[in-house]
Amino acid sequence: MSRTNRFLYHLSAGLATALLGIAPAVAADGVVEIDAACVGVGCFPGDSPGFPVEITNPGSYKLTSNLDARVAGDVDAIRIAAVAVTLDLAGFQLISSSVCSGGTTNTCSPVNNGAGVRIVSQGAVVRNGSITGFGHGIVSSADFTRLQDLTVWSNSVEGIFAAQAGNQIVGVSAYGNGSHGIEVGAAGMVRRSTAYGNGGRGIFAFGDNLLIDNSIYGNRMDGITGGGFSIYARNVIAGNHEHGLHDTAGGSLVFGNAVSSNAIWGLLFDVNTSAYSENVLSGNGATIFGGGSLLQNACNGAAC
Amino acid sequence: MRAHRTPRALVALTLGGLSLAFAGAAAARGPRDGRVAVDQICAPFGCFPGDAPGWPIEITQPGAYVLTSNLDVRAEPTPENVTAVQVAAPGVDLDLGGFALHGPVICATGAPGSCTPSGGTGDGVRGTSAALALRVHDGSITGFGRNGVYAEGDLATIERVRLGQMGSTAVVAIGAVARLSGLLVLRSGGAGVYTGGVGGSLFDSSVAEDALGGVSTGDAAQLQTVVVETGIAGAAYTGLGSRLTHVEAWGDGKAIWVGAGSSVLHSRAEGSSTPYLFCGQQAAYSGLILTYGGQPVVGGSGLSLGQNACYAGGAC
Repeated sequence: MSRTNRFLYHLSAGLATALLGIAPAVAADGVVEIDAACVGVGCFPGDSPGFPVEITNPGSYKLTSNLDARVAGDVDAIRIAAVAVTLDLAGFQLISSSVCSGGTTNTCSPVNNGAGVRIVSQGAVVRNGSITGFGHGIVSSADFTRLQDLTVWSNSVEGIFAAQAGNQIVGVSAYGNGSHGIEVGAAGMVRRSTAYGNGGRGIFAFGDNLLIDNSIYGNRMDGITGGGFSIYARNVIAGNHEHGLHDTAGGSLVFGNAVSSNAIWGLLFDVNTSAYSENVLSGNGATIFGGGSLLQNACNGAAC
Repeated sequence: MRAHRTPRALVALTLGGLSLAFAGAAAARGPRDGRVAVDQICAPFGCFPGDAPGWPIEITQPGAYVLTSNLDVRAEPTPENVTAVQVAAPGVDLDLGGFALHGPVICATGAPGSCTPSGGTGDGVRGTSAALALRVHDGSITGFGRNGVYAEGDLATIERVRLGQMGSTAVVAIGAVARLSGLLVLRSGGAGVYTGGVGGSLFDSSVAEDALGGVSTGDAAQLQTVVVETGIAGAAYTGLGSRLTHVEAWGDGKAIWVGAGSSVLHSRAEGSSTPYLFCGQQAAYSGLILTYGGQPVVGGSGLSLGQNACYAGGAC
């Protein structure tokens, strides 16, 4: 076949496969596209037909439509099983069937187990979209995940579950999920995020973490429960139905937080090796138990 | 020569494929990335299913939308009452794509509150209570009769938007836990930013020359890395249990007024009338510069946690 014919052959084949949906859709910038239409046939090599969309090769992926998993039942929508994957939700939404009532009783029905995005390989980035109605919005059982600019609401278990090491959660809003809003493991960071009206804790951080600049309001249990040697700084922690901040491990630094109207303790330290300064507490069931004051704190208008 | 002859079948397949490809592109409006395109041309006819012809462009389905041109309502008979985009679905991402929404209002420089035409009811982007988790980002909104962005649903996010010269308040987010960042807000007839719901936050923003105060929030709000300088009313006014850090505030009136149980840390406040900082009960402050003008610089019932510099440089 001549060069011309070979060129035309490949051009024709490319067009045909693209039009028939056989080959993966790849944008001009090389990003692999995922949409509702490809789910039923498999979006790219390695992805079996149906949910979940399975990412098994490193690279950059993005949604080009909403993915509505309600007709498929209790499933994962997307599963990341390759290292160093970036998944841009591109403003689209992952949707499943659970609806949570919100409020202090916050019940969800049906109770799903699937995840909007399930990450099993390290180094994934998921960003820029919203996830609702699954069991978990996102489950990461891998290290070094970055979850950014996401809204996860009305998922019947947790908004975000990222229990392994070195995960970053930035600019995430977790709202009205059945249990904890955000759960993060060791050496993690939760920054500029919001946990509001969740059925468990606002943020459950059970390793050594940095939690900074967050708004944690009206959760059914503690605003923050921390189980490691951590820094809790410049958060607004208000109106939670148990403690504002409950530090269970000691060795933590707590500064610059506004802690108000939480039902039990504003700041509760189980171990006295934690220290606190520049916190302002008001209207909590009680002010501070345990820990060591580095001064410059205010408790109901008095120094503490 | 035979080797260079192009098989007719291949030519036909190629041309057919190209035709289909171009036909598909023509039938689907907008970018190839699947987002729904919104532009000035489609507005009179309806941009997509669910959008009736004319203003506002009505978004009634979740998903991602992107402007592909400016949207200008100034040619309408009473443009101050026209809303450009209305969102009535959860989970909508509206990327302004660097484009601008234009309304007719102009506010005079140096005369806060002198905006014409006045009394309008139109918004640049209006999110109804159904618009949970509305996100508006990356563009400009100027000159609408009422608000630049009015977000009634919870979880609104507004990022990297420039807003100016609205008839009333530039940004209104009355749902819970609104997250605002990267805003440039200038010279509106009302306030600059109002987050009425609990747990709102404003980060990395500048708010200036708005007539009726700079930033006003509900309870448990946080302002961080914000410059707010404004006329007639105070610069920053917060609800209960709020936190202000790294705020530069100048008000033609009290600069910063915080609700009970709030904290003000590592900031500067100055006003044309004293006190520059007014604290509700059980509020506290530290690391502030409160200087120039008269005394007292602090009013209300706040507790100094020390390391503040007040009038004439004295510690307070």
